[in-house]
Amino acid sequence: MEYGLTDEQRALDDAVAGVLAAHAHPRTPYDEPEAPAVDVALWDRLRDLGVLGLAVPEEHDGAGAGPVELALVCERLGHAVAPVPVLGQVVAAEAIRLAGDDALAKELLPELASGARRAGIVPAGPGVDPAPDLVSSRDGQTVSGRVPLALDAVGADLLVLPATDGDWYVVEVGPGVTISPQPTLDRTRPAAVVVLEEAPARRLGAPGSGARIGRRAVALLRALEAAEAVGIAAWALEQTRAYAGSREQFGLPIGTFQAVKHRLADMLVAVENARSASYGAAWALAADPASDAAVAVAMAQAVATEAAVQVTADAVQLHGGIGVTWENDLHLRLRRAKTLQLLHGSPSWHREQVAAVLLDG
Amino acid sequence: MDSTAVDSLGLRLDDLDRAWAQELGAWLAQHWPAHRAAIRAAAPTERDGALRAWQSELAEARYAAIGWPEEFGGRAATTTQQLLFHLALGEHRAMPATGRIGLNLCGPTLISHGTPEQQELFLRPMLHGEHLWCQGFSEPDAGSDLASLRTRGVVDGEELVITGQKIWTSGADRADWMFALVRTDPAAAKRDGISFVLVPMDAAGVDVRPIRQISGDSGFSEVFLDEVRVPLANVVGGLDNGWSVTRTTLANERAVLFLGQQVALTSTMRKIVAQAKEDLPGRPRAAADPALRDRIAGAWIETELVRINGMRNLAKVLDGQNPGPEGAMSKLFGQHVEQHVHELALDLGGGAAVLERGAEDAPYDGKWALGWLRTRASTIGGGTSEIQRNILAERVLGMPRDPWADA
Repeated sequence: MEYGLTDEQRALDDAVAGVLAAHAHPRTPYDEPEAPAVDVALWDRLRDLGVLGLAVPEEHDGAGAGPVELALVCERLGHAVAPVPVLGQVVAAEAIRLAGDDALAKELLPELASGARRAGIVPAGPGVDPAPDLVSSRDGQTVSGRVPLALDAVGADLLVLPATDGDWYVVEVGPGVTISPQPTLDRTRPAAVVVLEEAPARRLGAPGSGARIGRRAVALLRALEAAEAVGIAAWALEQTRAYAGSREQFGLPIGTFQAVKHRLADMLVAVENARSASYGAAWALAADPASDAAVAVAMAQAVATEAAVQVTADAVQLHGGIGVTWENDLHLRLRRAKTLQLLHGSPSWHREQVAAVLLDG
Repeated sequence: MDSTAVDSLGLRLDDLDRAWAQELGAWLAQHWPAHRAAIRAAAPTERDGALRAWQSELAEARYAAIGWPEEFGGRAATTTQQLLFHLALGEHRAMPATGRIGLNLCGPTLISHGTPEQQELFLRPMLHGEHLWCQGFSEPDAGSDLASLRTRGVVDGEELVITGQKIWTSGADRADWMFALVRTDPAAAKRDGISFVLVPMDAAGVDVRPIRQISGDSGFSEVFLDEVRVPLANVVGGLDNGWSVTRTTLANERAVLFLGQQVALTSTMRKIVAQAKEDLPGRPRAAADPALRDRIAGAWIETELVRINGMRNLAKVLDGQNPGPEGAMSKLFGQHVEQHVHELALDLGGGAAVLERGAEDAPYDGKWALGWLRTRASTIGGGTSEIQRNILAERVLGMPRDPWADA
């Protein structure tokens, strides 16, 4: 039965949850603005669990798992708003895998799986706004241009990015690459402007294979963002449940009052719907390793990011005054939720993708 | 069975299940079309007989109540088989048994709590459609708060004398029997003095008055009981024990019930998508309107969520876990989706949608106004949305019970 999780998947989920509960410190970027962008200690612990190489093929030192396992991990990472660029790392690895270039895979994938090098991905295509503006040289050896909003780029060793010729390239961070961190809503995922000036680049796959690689890589990115959104919403519900059960007014826990109860029930439905949509996308991507599962992924983004924003906003509301204080961790999730909702296609944009398949075919 | 229907649910079937589904599909292909024609051709007064005849055919083949044990004419079907059964009905557009209130709700209760005599007397006619049943639970002052019911049952020798009123009783105008909750010990605590009793609808003192709903249909009735005398032998599970009898766990059956809803929603969505592409006289097609496109995609997504939520619950049941009160989640969300989908179907017709069936220019044959009106009841029947939210908050999230609720 596909709709349950295997024992291995449950064990992975538990292990990641355990590490994050003990070692994720999402407040650090807020309380210590000068702290490093990436929590290296946490990164190393996740590496030790095999998280970074989860979907890397076994022949390249990965675990050979797939989108379902990645989605479980990302749900946990969202739950913890963990300040580690796992998303960029695993999607960059997927893009490199899709290139079908053995030499490149042999060189880079083991390093990404082991965490020896960190990679970010710059998505492009419909719904990605603002779009990167990158041009490759005629011989495909360099890329130049500007990425106005890149996540997971700060501190990266490699960037996987698209050029206007439609192909994707891998660029080593070094001469010709300038990464300038930018203030952003979600401080646990630092944003940057990336400027490339004839940066040495290697094309992923043969010329013309970019569309195939990009569709699948961006679909995986979106599915994993949806999974993160599920985790955020689930955390907000857990916190609110605990608060409503203990905070007393009029001599009773506020969770006694139906106005509070009913909002909590709606939050629960939103979380489980989001989880169903997220699983649906992960299952669809896992079922066919070449597919972009366009409808399932659009549905996951639309449902899960909307749920994350709604549930975190409801959580703030039900916490009352304490919910709008800097000290309370709710705003960390609110910020991540909104970031995920806006970044790679709004819910209405994703619904339009579904509508196009239903109505314009 | 159409393998794509199975694949779309992500089910992995073993050979036995495959053979089971194939046999069922072949049986439906052979037997349903004649009944379908008979039901369609039946005059209003003959329709009841045609529906019962189909149930009888299902029962002969032990397809009327597949979840029942084999000794009672069922197939002791596994959850997977029940799922396949719902899928096959959807695929063949075949009707389920007309007596399913009895088959799904009363039958399992009799099988768990009934005496051998009660089982002997009632199960076979229930199975074959000779007895249709209705459920006499709700009362004018006992809806969401069911345990406050006041219909009285007084023991008089070997008989129970029942007086009171039931309401919202589905199918009471067709039913031969009613399973009812009556208060047999008014002194006991609210839930402790209730009995589960079987009442013949043709007994003296039973008066059925159909309720006309906003759609104009009369699917429900009021049932007045005036000193109706029923043998004590018709009490199921012991006197004053009715509340726990009704709690008979139907978890497995409930877990697959979403499929019936999902089949209906999917079929309605398919019609909506087709209609949205049609040009209507004097107005652009709905598929060209960005706001309607958003709603169509949203409704389609919600329908998909009903399916995946249901399958996740089912996976738990198949894994041996109790689906528990999470079922209230499927119910709460599913009933809202029903309303969204039907309202959307109506709205696609624009201003002309106010024209009902029979009007010259009624869009889509005027069929959606009825569905829109009928689905106003979706968030009320079987426990209002508000009650479902209470159940979720209290039993799933562990919030304190309402201070005024019974201990």
